[in-house]
Amino acid sequence: MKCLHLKNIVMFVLTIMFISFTIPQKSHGRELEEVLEAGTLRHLGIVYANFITKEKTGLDVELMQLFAEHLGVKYEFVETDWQNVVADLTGKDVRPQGEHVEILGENHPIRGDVIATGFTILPWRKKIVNFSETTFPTGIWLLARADSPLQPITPTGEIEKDVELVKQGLAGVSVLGLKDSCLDPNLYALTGTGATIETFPANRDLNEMIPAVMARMTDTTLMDVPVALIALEKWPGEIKVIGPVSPDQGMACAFAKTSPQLSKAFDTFFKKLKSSGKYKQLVQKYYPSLFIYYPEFLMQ
Amino acid sequence: MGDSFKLKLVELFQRPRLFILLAYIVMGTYLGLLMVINFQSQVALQKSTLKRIQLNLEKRAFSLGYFFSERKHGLASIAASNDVSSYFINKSLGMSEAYGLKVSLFVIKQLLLKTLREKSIQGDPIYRQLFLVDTNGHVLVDAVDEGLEPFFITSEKESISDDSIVSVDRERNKIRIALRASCVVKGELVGSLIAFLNIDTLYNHFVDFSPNPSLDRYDLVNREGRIIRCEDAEQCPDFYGLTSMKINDLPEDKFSLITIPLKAAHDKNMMVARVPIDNMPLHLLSWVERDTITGTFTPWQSLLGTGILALVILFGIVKMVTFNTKNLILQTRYDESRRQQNVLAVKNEQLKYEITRRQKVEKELEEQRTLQVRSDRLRSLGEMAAGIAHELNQPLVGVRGKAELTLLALAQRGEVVRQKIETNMRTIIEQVDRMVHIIDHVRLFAREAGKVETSRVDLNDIVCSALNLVMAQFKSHDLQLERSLAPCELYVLVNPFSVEEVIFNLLKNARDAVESKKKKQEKAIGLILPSVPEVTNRKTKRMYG
Repeated sequence: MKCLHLKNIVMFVLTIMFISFTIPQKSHGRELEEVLEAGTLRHLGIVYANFITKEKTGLDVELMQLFAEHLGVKYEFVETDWQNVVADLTGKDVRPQGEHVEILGENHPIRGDVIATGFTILPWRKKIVNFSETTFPTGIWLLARADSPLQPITPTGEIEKDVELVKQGLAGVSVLGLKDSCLDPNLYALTGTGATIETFPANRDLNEMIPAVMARMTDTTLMDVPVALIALEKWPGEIKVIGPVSPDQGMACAFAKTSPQLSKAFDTFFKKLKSSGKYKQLVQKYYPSLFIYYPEFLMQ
Repeated sequence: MGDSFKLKLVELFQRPRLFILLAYIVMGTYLGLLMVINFQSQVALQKSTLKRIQLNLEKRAFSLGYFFSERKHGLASIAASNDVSSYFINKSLGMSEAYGLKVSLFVIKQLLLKTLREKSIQGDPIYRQLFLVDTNGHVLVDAVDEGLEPFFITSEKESISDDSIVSVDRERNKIRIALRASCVVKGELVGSLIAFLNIDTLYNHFVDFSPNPSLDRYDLVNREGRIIRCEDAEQCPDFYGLTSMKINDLPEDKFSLITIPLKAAHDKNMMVARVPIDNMPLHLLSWVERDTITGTFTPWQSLLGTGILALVILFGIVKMVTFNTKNLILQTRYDESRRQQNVLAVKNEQLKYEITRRQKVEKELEEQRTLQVRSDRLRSLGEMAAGIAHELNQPLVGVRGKAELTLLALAQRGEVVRQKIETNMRTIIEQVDRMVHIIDHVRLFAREAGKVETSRVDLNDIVCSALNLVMAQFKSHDLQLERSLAPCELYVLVNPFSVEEVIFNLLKNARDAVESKKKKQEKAIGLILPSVPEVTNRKTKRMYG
């Protein structure tokens, strides 16, 4: 009798636990009021270049800290990865399909209120999240080893033409990319260039892509401009930039579609931050060479 | 010892001519020595000043050489740095500025800016500008963005060289000293790092930092002999006619001084020297007005003037010495006289004391003598008293006898008795007169003997008077007294009582001597008195001192 009673209790507890884990806590990202009520801003980020360093510092970390201070709430960093970052914000598991996105599920637990991690504005991402004003200019370059027979292009002055020139030289060249990210080769129509597309493992650190090229694991790699600039400083004479594979892009903070107020609050904050000149100082702190390539950025 | 020295000095001073001559010789020798020493000192001072300028010039040139060497090494390090090499390597890889090279240039610019900011001396920046140029002279990086171009870079490819470039652009008032470091990649010149030095810092800390601009001046000159900078035209050698040609004529391999006569209007001479600066196509030039080193007068002029002055001083000194010598002599004499006066005063005091003491003693002695005399006299009187008593006793006996006879006679009557009484009375009166005479004589003797008053008396009377006093006494002692008087009157000026006392004492002594002999059963001797004058003189002296 006693054993049966105990068994019933255990079953009851397990059932409750199962339900609590399976039933989604929230089916949408938190809005401004919820963030204010919770008293914490949860920042979704991935260790990536100088946006978020291994020490959990960086441009986006400081930006979010300032935003939390602006809201009057605490700041909380929530580490994620490229495969789950959108789901951690929206609660929806997605799969990019070119410029479109496929929703795989909507039971993903929401772990953050905002994505700020050198997050490139991509067409498919726009469909699932709301992006803020551009916080960082970028683009995608093709990088190769210094001794690679692949030669850098001669700039034409028009980026579209430069992209074509790059693609023309990719026949028989292996190109490393990262799926479902801004470095996804599928985003840049490389499949028809004759290049051999290689996918970087999703569970590896993105910062290891360029070392992989230097280690001759691949001929070339796609890399966004900020990271490429840092790599050029870090490994001078060992890598070279062949040219662009994308037009100019932008990075921004991403908010859930269900958090328009929060997104608006960020835009207000960001506008004030730019006008005060503090954001430019912040960018120069982490990416001092950015304005060489993007002198118009933050000009207005 | 001081007194003996002063005495010797006084002796010397007592020969003024010799002393003055000696003083002239000594002073002349001393002043001549001073003049020679002064002349030598002036010459040595000039040499020392020149030496100082030389050392200063060489020191500054060495410092400049070291400074430029350090700058070259610094620039070479920057040119060889990874940041600079990366750019050229990336460029050699074919990268374009649009896609990657700009980053390298940005990094290089940050490096050059850091160098501009950090390289300073006491807050003064060393560099004014830093460039990175390619082999075509195209400016790749301009650290300051002033728009100034390294004008000396030509479009022609230059070989690898670490020469420093010095350009003096006086027409456009641009003075620039530039250093260049080559950027070499894989043994090939790919570019240059150009640095413009901050002229003000260079001059303020290495060339001419003298706080006193009136002394030696310094400046840099290039290989053509052109002075790099000379702010004050009045102070600039060019103004005085020191042309580039003259500067280049100065020996380069060693330090030397030359005198360059200037324009007639100024009529000044300058001493100029130049020293090459290591590692640079520059010289350090120094110039100073000759009068600054040598002074307005040459050493010989100074010597002559000093000689004249020395003579004047010598003359004055000798005069002063002479005056002082005389003063010293007088002073010495005065001191000596004072000393003697003091000695005399002391002696006087001592003498006075002695005199006083002697007077006192003499007084006492006189008193003692008087007492002695009185005592002797009293003793004499005492001695005389016996004689006097004896002399008086006789008449007294006679008087008594006659008195008794008279009484007896009185008892008898008659003429015969009357005549006897008269005779006896006359005898008594004679005897009484005799006693009176004796008593008066003794009174006078006691009163007058020893006095200094004298009277003219006959010595025979004095002798007789003395004999009368002792005659009876001699008889009573059974002594025979014989006299031998002077046959005639013998008048002398004496105190008769003092002489009588002498004779009395002689007779007493003779009596005692005879009686002494009689006791010894010796023959009695007679007292033979020598002639009275002899006795008077000799005995009187002995008895009365």
